[in-house]
Amino acid sequence: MNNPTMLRLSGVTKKFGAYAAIEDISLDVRRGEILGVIGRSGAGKSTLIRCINGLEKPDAGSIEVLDNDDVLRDLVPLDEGELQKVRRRIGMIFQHFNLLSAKTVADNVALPLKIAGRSRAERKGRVEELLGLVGLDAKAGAYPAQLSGGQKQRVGIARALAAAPALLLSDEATSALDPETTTAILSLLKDINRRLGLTILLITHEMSVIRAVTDRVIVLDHGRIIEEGPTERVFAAPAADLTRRLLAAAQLGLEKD
Amino acid sequence: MFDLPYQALLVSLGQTLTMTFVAGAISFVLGLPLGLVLVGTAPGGIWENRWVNKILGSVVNAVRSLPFIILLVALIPLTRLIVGTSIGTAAAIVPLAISAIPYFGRVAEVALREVDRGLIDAVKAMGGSRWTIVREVLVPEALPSLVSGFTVTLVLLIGASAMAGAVGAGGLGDLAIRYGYQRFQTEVMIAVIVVLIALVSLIQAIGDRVARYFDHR
Repeated sequence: MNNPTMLRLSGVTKKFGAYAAIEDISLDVRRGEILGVIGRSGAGKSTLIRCINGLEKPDAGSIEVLDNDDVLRDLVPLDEGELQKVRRRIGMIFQHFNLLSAKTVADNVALPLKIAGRSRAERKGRVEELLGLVGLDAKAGAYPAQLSGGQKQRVGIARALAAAPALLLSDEATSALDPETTTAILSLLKDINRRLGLTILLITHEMSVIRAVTDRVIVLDHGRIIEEGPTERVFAAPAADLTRRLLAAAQLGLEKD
Repeated sequence: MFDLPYQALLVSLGQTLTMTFVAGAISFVLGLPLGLVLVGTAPGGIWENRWVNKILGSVVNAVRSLPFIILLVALIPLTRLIVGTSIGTAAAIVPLAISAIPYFGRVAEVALREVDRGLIDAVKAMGGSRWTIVREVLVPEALPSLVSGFTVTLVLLIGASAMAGAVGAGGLGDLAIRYGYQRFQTEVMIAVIVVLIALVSLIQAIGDRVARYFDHR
Protein backbone atom coordinates (compact mmCIF):
# COMPACT_ATOMS: atom_id res chain seq x y z
CA MET A 1 0.00 0.00 0.00
CA ASN A 2 1.39 3.39 -0.99
CA ASN A 3 -1.06 5.46 0.95
CA PRO A 4 0.32 8.06 3.35
CA THR A 5 0.83 7.23 7.00
CA MET A 6 -2.28 8.09 9.01
CA LEU A 7 -0.88 7.29 12.43
CA ARG A 8 2.71 6.77 13.50
CA LEU A 9 3.87 5.66 16.92
CA SER A 10 7.58 5.86 17.68
CA GLY A 11 9.04 4.38 20.84
CA VAL A 12 5.89 4.83 22.90
CA THR A 13 6.20 3.76 26.52
CA LYS A 14 3.57 4.13 29.22
CA LYS A 15 4.32 3.19 32.80
CA PHE A 16 1.99 2.86 35.76
CA GLY A 17 4.40 3.22 38.67
CA ALA A 18 7.32 0.94 37.91
CA TYR A 19 5.22 -1.29 35.66
CA ALA A 20 5.39 -0.61 31.93
CA ALA A 21 1.98 -1.29 30.39
CA ILE A 22 3.44 -0.70 26.93
CA GLU A 23 7.11 -0.39 26.11
CA ASP A 24 8.87 1.02 23.08
CA ILE A 25 5.94 0.57 20.71
CA SER A 26 6.54 1.75 17.15
CA LEU A 27 4.02 1.25 14.41
CA ASP A 28 2.58 2.85 11.29
CA VAL A 29 -1.01 2.76 10.14
CA ARG A 30 -1.57 3.74 6.54
CA ARG A 31 -4.62 5.61 5.32
CA GLY A 32 -7.44 3.24 4.44
CA GLU A 33 -5.85 0.30 6.17
CA ILE A 34 -7.33 -1.93 8.87
CA LEU A 35 -4.61 -2.75 11.36
CA GLY A 36 -5.32 -5.34 14.01
CA VAL A 37 -3.59 -5.46 17.37
CA ILE A 38 -3.98 -8.74 19.18
CA GLY A 39 -2.83 -9.85 22.59
CA ARG A 40 -4.00 -11.56 25.73
CA SER A 41 -5.67 -9.51 28.44
CA GLY A 42 -3.07 -7.39 30.19
CA ALA A 43 -0.86 -7.24 27.10
CA GLY A 44 -1.27 -3.45 26.97
CA LYS A 45 -3.84 -3.19 24.19
CA SER A 46 -6.17 -0.82 26.02
CA THR A 47 -3.31 1.35 27.22
CA LEU A 48 -2.08 1.57 23.63
CA ILE A 49 -5.46 2.71 22.32
CA ARG A 50 -5.92 5.16 25.20
CA CYS A 51 -2.53 6.70 24.40
CA ILE A 52 -3.52 7.13 20.77
CA ASN A 53 -6.49 9.34 21.59
CA GLY A 54 -4.70 11.09 24.40
CA LEU A 55 -6.72 9.64 27.29
CA GLU A 56 -3.35 8.54 28.68
CA LYS A 57 -0.13 10.49 28.27
CA PRO A 58 2.84 8.29 27.34
CA ASP A 59 6.05 8.59 29.35
CA ALA A 60 8.19 8.43 26.24
CA GLY A 61 7.85 8.41 22.46
CA SER A 62 5.71 10.27 19.96
CA ILE A 63 2.24 9.66 18.56
CA GLU A 64 1.73 11.41 15.26
CA VAL A 65 -1.65 11.72 13.60
CA LEU A 66 -2.18 13.05 10.09
CA ASP A 67 -3.97 16.38 10.39
CA ASN A 68 -6.31 18.11 7.96
CA ASP A 69 -3.33 19.59 6.08
CA ASP A 70 -1.88 16.09 5.55
CA VAL A 71 0.93 16.75 8.02
CA LEU A 72 1.83 14.27 10.74
CA ARG A 73 1.58 16.03 14.08
CA ASP A 74 2.71 14.68 17.44
CA LEU A 75 -0.08 14.78 20.02
CA VAL A 76 2.04 13.91 23.06
CA PRO A 77 3.07 17.52 23.85
CA LEU A 78 -0.45 18.92 23.32
CA ASP A 79 -2.47 20.41 26.17
CA GLU A 80 -6.01 19.33 27.03
CA GLY A 81 -7.71 21.91 24.82
CA GLU A 82 -5.62 20.97 21.75
CA LEU A 83 -6.13 17.26 22.49
CA GLN A 84 -9.88 17.79 22.43
CA LYS A 85 -9.59 19.02 18.84
CA VAL A 86 -7.46 16.03 17.82
CA ARG A 87 -9.92 13.61 19.46
CA ARG A 88 -12.75 15.00 17.34
CA ARG A 89 -10.90 13.55 14.34
CA ILE A 90 -10.55 10.12 15.96
CA GLY A 91 -13.68 8.00 16.39
CA MET A 92 -13.81 5.25 18.97
CA ILE A 93 -16.02 2.23 19.61
CA PHE A 94 -16.05 0.28 22.85
CA GLN A 95 -16.57 -3.26 24.11
CA HIS A 96 -19.49 -2.16 26.28
CA PHE A 97 -20.76 0.36 23.72
CA ASN A 98 -20.78 3.24 26.26
CA LEU A 99 -23.98 4.76 24.93
CA LEU A 100 -25.65 7.43 27.04
CA SER A 101 -28.74 5.83 28.55
CA ALA A 102 -30.57 9.14 29.01
CA LYS A 103 -30.33 10.01 25.31
CA THR A 104 -32.16 8.55 22.35
CA VAL A 105 -30.27 6.75 19.59
CA ALA A 106 -30.44 9.90 17.45
CA ASP A 107 -29.15 12.12 20.28
CA ASN A 108 -26.30 9.70 20.99
CA VAL A 109 -25.21 9.82 17.38
CA ALA A 110 -25.63 13.61 17.30
CA LEU A 111 -23.43 14.22 20.35
CA PRO A 112 -20.03 14.36 18.57
CA LEU A 113 -21.59 16.83 16.11
CA LYS A 114 -22.92 18.92 18.97
CA ILE A 115 -19.42 18.90 20.49
CA ALA A 116 -18.02 19.98 17.13
CA GLY A 117 -20.44 22.91 17.17
CA ARG A 118 -22.67 21.89 14.24
CA SER A 119 -26.12 23.41 13.96
CA ARG A 120 -29.27 21.51 14.85
CA ALA A 121 -30.31 21.21 11.20
CA GLU A 122 -26.89 19.92 10.16
CA ARG A 123 -26.95 17.37 12.98
CA LYS A 124 -30.37 16.09 12.02
CA GLY A 125 -29.41 15.43 8.41
CA ARG A 126 -26.14 13.77 9.33
CA VAL A 127 -27.77 11.56 11.99
CA GLU A 128 -30.34 10.30 9.47
CA GLU A 129 -27.57 9.53 7.00
CA LEU A 130 -25.52 7.65 9.62
CA LEU A 131 -28.42 5.63 10.99
CA GLY A 132 -29.14 4.64 7.41
CA LEU A 133 -25.53 3.58 6.97
CA VAL A 134 -25.66 1.25 9.98
CA GLY A 135 -29.20 0.06 9.20
CA LEU A 136 -30.98 1.57 12.19
CA ASP A 137 -33.24 4.19 10.59
CA ALA A 138 -36.23 2.84 12.47
CA LYS A 139 -34.62 3.16 15.88
CA ALA A 140 -33.82 6.89 15.94
CA GLY A 141 -36.23 7.62 18.76
CA ALA A 142 -35.45 4.52 20.83
CA TYR A 143 -33.33 4.51 23.97
CA PRO A 144 -30.22 2.29 24.11
CA ALA A 145 -31.81 0.04 26.77
CA GLN A 146 -34.42 -0.97 24.19
CA LEU A 147 -31.79 -2.27 21.75
CA SER A 148 -29.97 -5.59 21.38
CA GLY A 149 -26.19 -5.77 21.80
CA GLY A 150 -25.61 -5.73 18.06
CA GLN A 151 -27.90 -2.75 17.60
CA LYS A 152 -26.12 -0.91 20.41
CA GLN A 153 -22.79 -1.43 18.70
CA ARG A 154 -24.27 -0.17 15.43
CA VAL A 155 -25.25 2.99 17.27
CA GLY A 156 -21.72 3.10 18.70
CA ILE A 157 -20.31 2.88 15.17
CA ALA A 158 -22.68 5.55 13.84
CA ARG A 159 -21.68 7.80 16.74
CA ALA A 160 -17.98 7.18 16.15
CA LEU A 161 -18.39 8.11 12.48
CA ALA A 162 -20.59 11.16 13.11
CA ALA A 163 -17.87 13.80 13.03
CA ALA A 164 -16.27 12.18 9.93
CA PRO A 165 -13.12 11.03 11.72
CA ALA A 166 -9.88 10.30 9.91
CA LEU A 167 -9.22 7.29 12.11
CA LEU A 168 -11.47 4.81 13.90
CA LEU A 169 -10.28 3.05 17.03
CA SER A 170 -12.05 -0.15 17.96
CA ASP A 171 -11.49 -1.40 21.51
CA GLU A 172 -12.68 -5.02 21.70
CA ALA A 173 -15.82 -3.86 19.90
CA THR A 174 -17.17 -7.36 19.32
CA SER A 175 -16.03 -9.04 22.53
CA ALA A 176 -19.41 -8.65 24.23
CA LEU A 177 -21.35 -9.93 21.21
CA ASP A 178 -22.39 -13.42 20.13
CA PRO A 179 -20.60 -14.99 17.11
CA GLU A 180 -23.36 -14.17 14.62
CA THR A 181 -23.60 -10.53 15.71
CA THR A 182 -19.80 -10.32 15.72
CA THR A 183 -19.76 -11.35 12.07
CA ALA A 184 -22.40 -8.76 11.21
CA ILE A 185 -20.58 -5.95 13.03
CA LEU A 186 -17.24 -6.91 11.46
CA SER A 187 -18.68 -6.90 7.97
CA LEU A 188 -20.19 -3.51 8.69
CA LEU A 189 -16.73 -2.23 9.71
CA LYS A 190 -15.18 -3.74 6.59
CA ASP A 191 -17.89 -2.20 4.47
CA ILE A 192 -17.37 1.24 6.03
CA ASN A 193 -13.63 0.87 5.52
CA ARG A 194 -14.15 0.19 1.81
CA ARG A 195 -16.86 2.74 1.17
CA LEU A 196 -15.45 5.64 3.15
CA GLY A 197 -11.78 4.69 2.91
CA LEU A 198 -11.70 4.90 6.69
CA THR A 199 -8.54 3.92 8.53
CA ILE A 200 -9.26 1.51 11.38
CA LEU A 201 -7.09 0.39 14.27
CA LEU A 202 -8.76 -2.56 15.89
CA ILE A 203 -7.70 -4.23 19.09
CA THR A 204 -8.98 -7.62 20.09
CA HIS A 205 -8.01 -10.83 21.84
CA GLU A 206 -9.76 -12.95 19.20
CA MET A 207 -7.78 -14.27 16.22
CA SER A 208 -11.03 -14.86 14.33
CA VAL A 209 -11.70 -11.11 14.39
CA ILE A 210 -8.21 -10.41 13.06
CA ARG A 211 -8.69 -12.90 10.24
CA ALA A 212 -12.11 -11.54 9.29
CA VAL A 213 -11.22 -7.90 8.73
CA THR A 214 -7.61 -6.84 9.11
CA ASP A 215 -5.02 -6.21 6.43
CA ARG A 216 -2.13 -6.32 8.81
CA VAL A 217 -1.66 -7.57 12.36
CA ILE A 218 0.53 -6.73 15.32
CA VAL A 219 0.91 -9.20 18.17
CA LEU A 220 1.38 -7.59 21.56
CA ASP A 221 2.70 -9.38 24.62
CA HIS A 222 3.72 -7.87 27.96
CA GLY A 223 3.53 -4.43 26.39
CA ARG A 224 5.88 -5.21 23.51
CA ILE A 225 5.37 -6.00 19.84
CA ILE A 226 6.46 -9.61 19.32
CA GLU A 227 5.23 -10.12 15.79
CA GLU A 228 4.02 -7.98 12.94
CA GLY A 229 3.02 -8.60 9.35
CA PRO A 230 0.30 -8.94 6.73
CA THR A 231 -2.59 -10.93 8.23
CA GLU A 232 -2.38 -13.72 5.64
CA ARG A 233 1.34 -14.20 6.24
CA VAL A 234 0.96 -14.28 10.03
CA PHE A 235 -1.82 -16.83 9.79
CA ALA A 236 0.05 -19.00 7.30
CA ALA A 237 3.43 -18.85 9.01
CA PRO A 238 3.29 -17.44 12.54
CA ALA A 239 6.78 -16.61 13.79
CA ALA A 240 6.20 -16.13 17.50
CA ASP A 241 5.22 -18.80 19.99
CA LEU A 242 2.35 -16.74 21.34
CA THR A 243 0.93 -16.18 17.86
CA ARG A 244 0.87 -19.94 17.31
CA ARG A 245 -0.89 -20.45 20.63
CA LEU A 246 -3.47 -17.74 19.87
CA LEU A 247 -4.07 -19.34 16.47
CA ALA A 248 -4.49 -22.79 18.02
CA ALA A 249 -6.96 -21.37 20.54
CA ALA A 250 -8.92 -19.73 17.73
CA GLN A 251 -9.09 -22.99 15.79
CA LEU A 252 -10.33 -24.81 18.87
CA GLY A 253 -12.93 -22.11 19.32
CA LEU A 254 -14.04 -22.46 15.71
CA GLU A 255 -14.40 -26.21 16.06
CA LYS A 256 -16.61 -25.67 19.08
CA ASP A 257 -18.87 -23.40 17.06
CA MET B 1 -67.16 17.68 60.72
CA PHE B 2 -64.58 17.86 63.54
CA ASP B 3 -64.11 20.80 65.78
CA LEU B 4 -60.69 21.73 64.47
CA PRO B 5 -58.98 25.11 63.99
CA TYR B 6 -59.18 24.72 60.20
CA GLN B 7 -57.99 28.23 59.52
CA ALA B 8 -54.86 27.73 61.64
CA LEU B 9 -54.29 24.31 60.10
CA LEU B 10 -54.37 25.80 56.61
CA VAL B 11 -52.06 28.65 57.51
CA SER B 12 -49.63 26.18 59.13
CA LEU B 13 -49.72 23.89 56.10
CA GLY B 14 -48.90 26.90 53.92
CA GLN B 15 -45.95 27.79 56.15
CA THR B 16 -44.63 24.23 56.13
CA LEU B 17 -44.94 24.04 52.34
CA THR B 18 -43.20 27.41 51.91
CA MET B 19 -40.32 26.44 54.18
CA THR B 20 -39.94 22.98 52.62
CA PHE B 21 -40.08 24.00 48.97
CA VAL B 22 -38.11 27.23 49.13
CA ALA B 23 -35.36 25.62 51.23
CA GLY B 24 -35.61 22.53 48.97
CA ALA B 25 -35.18 24.60 45.82
CA ILE B 26 -32.14 26.38 47.28
CA SER B 27 -30.62 23.06 48.38
CA PHE B 28 -31.07 21.66 44.87
CA VAL B 29 -29.58 24.69 43.12
CA LEU B 30 -26.55 24.84 45.43
CA GLY B 31 -26.30 21.17 46.45
CA LEU B 32 -26.02 19.87 42.87
CA PRO B 33 -22.90 21.93 42.07
CA LEU B 34 -21.55 20.91 45.48
CA GLY B 35 -22.07 17.24 44.57
CA LEU B 36 -20.45 17.83 41.17
CA VAL B 37 -17.41 19.43 42.77
CA LEU B 38 -17.15 16.63 45.35
CA VAL B 39 -17.20 14.00 42.59
CA GLY B 40 -15.11 16.00 40.14
CA THR B 41 -12.29 16.79 42.57
CA ALA B 42 -12.12 13.21 43.90
CA PRO B 43 -9.19 11.02 42.68
CA GLY B 44 -9.74 10.22 39.01
CA GLY B 45 -12.38 12.94 38.70
CA ILE B 46 -12.60 15.51 35.92
CA TRP B 47 -11.15 18.30 38.09
CA GLU B 48 -9.07 16.06 40.34
CA ASN B 49 -7.85 18.18 43.27
CA ARG B 50 -7.11 16.50 46.58
CA TRP B 51 -7.13 19.65 48.68
CA VAL B 52 -10.36 21.13 47.42
CA ASN B 53 -11.95 17.71 47.84
CA LYS B 54 -10.70 17.30 51.41
CA ILE B 55 -11.58 20.79 52.58
CA LEU B 56 -15.02 20.76 51.00
CA GLY B 57 -15.71 17.28 52.39
CA SER B 58 -14.77 18.44 55.88
CA VAL B 59 -17.01 21.51 55.69
CA VAL B 60 -19.90 19.34 54.51
CA ASN B 61 -19.31 16.90 57.35
CA ALA B 62 -19.08 19.69 59.91
CA VAL B 63 -22.40 21.26 58.90
CA ARG B 64 -24.05 17.86 58.74
CA SER B 65 -22.84 16.99 62.24
CA LEU B 66 -24.83 19.80 63.83
CA PRO B 67 -28.31 18.91 65.06
CA PHE B 68 -30.83 21.11 63.24
CA ILE B 69 -32.14 22.74 66.41
CA ILE B 70 -28.61 23.97 67.18
CA LEU B 71 -28.04 25.18 63.62
CA LEU B 72 -31.32 27.06 63.89
CA VAL B 73 -30.06 29.04 66.87
CA ALA B 74 -26.43 29.29 65.81
CA LEU B 75 -27.33 30.83 62.45
CA ILE B 76 -29.50 33.61 63.91
CA PRO B 77 -26.90 36.34 63.10
CA LEU B 78 -26.55 35.12 59.51
CA THR B 79 -30.32 34.89 59.13
CA ARG B 80 -30.69 38.45 60.37
CA LEU B 81 -28.09 39.53 57.81
CA ILE B 82 -29.85 37.82 54.89
CA VAL B 83 -33.54 38.16 55.71
CA GLY B 84 -33.44 41.19 57.99
CA THR B 85 -35.10 39.37 60.87
CA SER B 86 -34.47 36.14 62.74
CA ILE B 87 -38.14 35.43 63.40
CA GLY B 88 -40.81 34.05 61.08
CA THR B 89 -41.22 31.64 58.16
CA ALA B 90 -38.79 33.45 55.86
CA ALA B 91 -36.16 33.49 58.60
CA ALA B 92 -36.45 29.73 59.12
CA ILE B 93 -35.67 29.12 55.46
CA VAL B 94 -32.03 30.17 55.97
CA PRO B 95 -31.07 27.47 58.51
CA LEU B 96 -33.27 24.93 56.71
CA ALA B 97 -31.47 25.58 53.42
CA ILE B 98 -28.07 25.56 55.06
CA SER B 99 -28.68 22.17 56.62
CA ALA B 100 -30.20 20.78 53.41
CA ILE B 101 -27.45 21.97 51.02
CA PRO B 102 -24.71 19.64 52.34
CA TYR B 103 -27.27 16.86 52.74
CA PHE B 104 -28.39 17.07 49.11
CA GLY B 105 -24.75 17.67 48.13
CA ARG B 106 -23.82 14.26 49.52
CA VAL B 107 -26.90 12.65 47.98
CA ALA B 108 -25.96 14.18 44.61
CA GLU B 109 -22.35 13.06 45.07
CA VAL B 110 -23.45 9.45 45.48
CA ALA B 111 -25.79 9.68 42.48
CA LEU B 112 -23.11 11.26 40.26
CA ARG B 113 -20.43 8.81 41.34
CA GLU B 114 -22.59 5.92 40.16
CA VAL B 115 -22.38 7.16 36.55
CA ASP B 116 -20.42 4.63 34.48
CA ARG B 117 -16.85 5.83 33.93
CA GLY B 118 -16.97 4.34 30.45
CA LEU B 119 -19.52 6.99 29.47
CA ILE B 120 -17.20 9.78 30.63
CA ASP B 121 -14.36 8.18 28.65
CA ALA B 122 -16.56 7.92 25.57
CA VAL B 123 -17.41 11.61 25.63
CA LYS B 124 -13.79 12.53 26.39
CA ALA B 125 -12.74 10.36 23.45
CA MET B 126 -15.06 12.28 21.11
CA GLY B 127 -13.39 15.52 22.17
CA GLY B 128 -15.85 16.69 24.80
CA SER B 129 -14.77 19.29 27.35
CA ARG B 130 -15.25 18.91 31.09
CA TRP B 131 -18.31 21.10 30.87
CA THR B 132 -19.71 18.82 28.13
CA ILE B 133 -19.15 15.85 30.42
CA VAL B 134 -21.10 17.57 33.20
CA ARG B 135 -23.94 18.66 30.93
CA GLU B 136 -24.27 15.68 28.62
CA VAL B 137 -23.15 12.79 30.83
CA LEU B 138 -23.03 13.32 34.59
CA VAL B 139 -26.25 15.22 35.19
CA PRO B 140 -28.54 13.50 32.65
CA GLU B 141 -27.27 10.01 33.51
CA ALA B 142 -27.64 10.62 37.26
CA LEU B 143 -30.98 12.42 36.92
CA PRO B 144 -33.24 9.56 38.13
CA SER B 145 -31.08 9.13 41.25
CA LEU B 146 -30.86 12.89 41.72
CA VAL B 147 -34.65 13.15 41.67
CA SER B 148 -35.00 10.29 44.16
CA GLY B 149 -32.41 11.92 46.40
CA PHE B 150 -34.15 15.27 46.14
CA THR B 151 -37.42 13.62 47.21
CA VAL B 152 -35.68 12.28 50.33
CA THR B 153 -34.29 15.76 50.99
CA LEU B 154 -37.77 17.32 50.76
CA VAL B 155 -39.21 14.81 53.22
CA LEU B 156 -36.33 15.50 55.57
CA LEU B 157 -37.06 19.24 55.28
CA ILE B 158 -40.70 18.70 56.27
CA GLY B 159 -39.43 17.05 59.44
CA ALA B 160 -36.84 19.74 60.14
CA SER B 161 -39.35 22.54 59.52
CA ALA B 162 -41.38 21.26 62.49
CA MET B 163 -38.55 22.53 64.70
CA ALA B 164 -38.61 25.93 63.07
CA GLY B 165 -41.52 26.81 65.37
CA ALA B 166 -38.76 27.54 67.87
CA VAL B 167 -37.96 30.73 65.95
CA GLY B 168 -41.60 31.65 65.42
CA ALA B 169 -41.73 30.29 61.89
CA GLY B 170 -45.07 28.55 62.42
CA GLY B 171 -45.76 25.47 60.39
CA LEU B 172 -47.49 22.19 61.16
CA GLY B 173 -45.03 21.11 63.83
CA ASP B 174 -45.52 24.35 65.71
CA LEU B 175 -49.31 23.95 65.48
CA ALA B 176 -49.13 20.43 66.86
CA ILE B 177 -47.05 21.58 69.82
CA ARG B 178 -49.16 24.65 70.67
CA TYR B 179 -52.63 23.15 70.25
CA GLY B 180 -52.08 19.43 70.56
CA TYR B 181 -49.53 19.41 73.37
CA GLN B 182 -49.73 22.62 75.32
CA ARG B 183 -53.56 22.95 75.13
CA PHE B 184 -54.23 19.22 75.35
CA GLN B 185 -56.21 19.23 72.07
CA THR B 186 -55.32 15.71 71.00
CA GLU B 187 -57.53 15.95 67.90
CA VAL B 188 -55.36 18.77 66.54
CA MET B 189 -52.27 16.64 67.10
CA ILE B 190 -53.91 13.77 65.20
CA ALA B 191 -55.05 16.09 62.42
CA VAL B 192 -51.50 17.42 61.99
CA ILE B 193 -50.12 13.89 61.87
CA VAL B 194 -52.69 12.90 59.23
CA VAL B 195 -51.84 15.96 57.12
CA LEU B 196 -48.10 15.24 57.44
CA ILE B 197 -48.52 11.59 56.43
CA ALA B 198 -50.60 12.66 53.42
CA LEU B 199 -48.03 15.31 52.48
CA VAL B 200 -45.04 12.97 52.73
CA SER B 201 -46.86 10.24 50.80
CA LEU B 202 -47.78 12.70 48.06
CA ILE B 203 -44.24 14.06 47.72
CA GLN B 204 -42.79 10.54 47.66
CA ALA B 205 -45.30 9.42 45.02
CA ILE B 206 -44.59 12.42 42.80
CA GLY B 207 -40.83 11.98 43.30
CA ASP B 208 -41.00 8.31 42.31
CA ARG B 209 -43.01 9.17 39.21
CA VAL B 210 -40.63 11.89 38.08
CA ALA B 211 -37.61 9.64 38.71
CA ARG B 212 -39.22 6.87 36.63
CA TYR B 213 -40.00 9.33 33.86
CA PHE B 214 -36.31 10.21 33.51
CA ASP B 215 -35.06 6.64 33.86
CA HIS B 216 -34.25 4.99 30.53
CA ARG B 217 -31.66 2.54 31.86
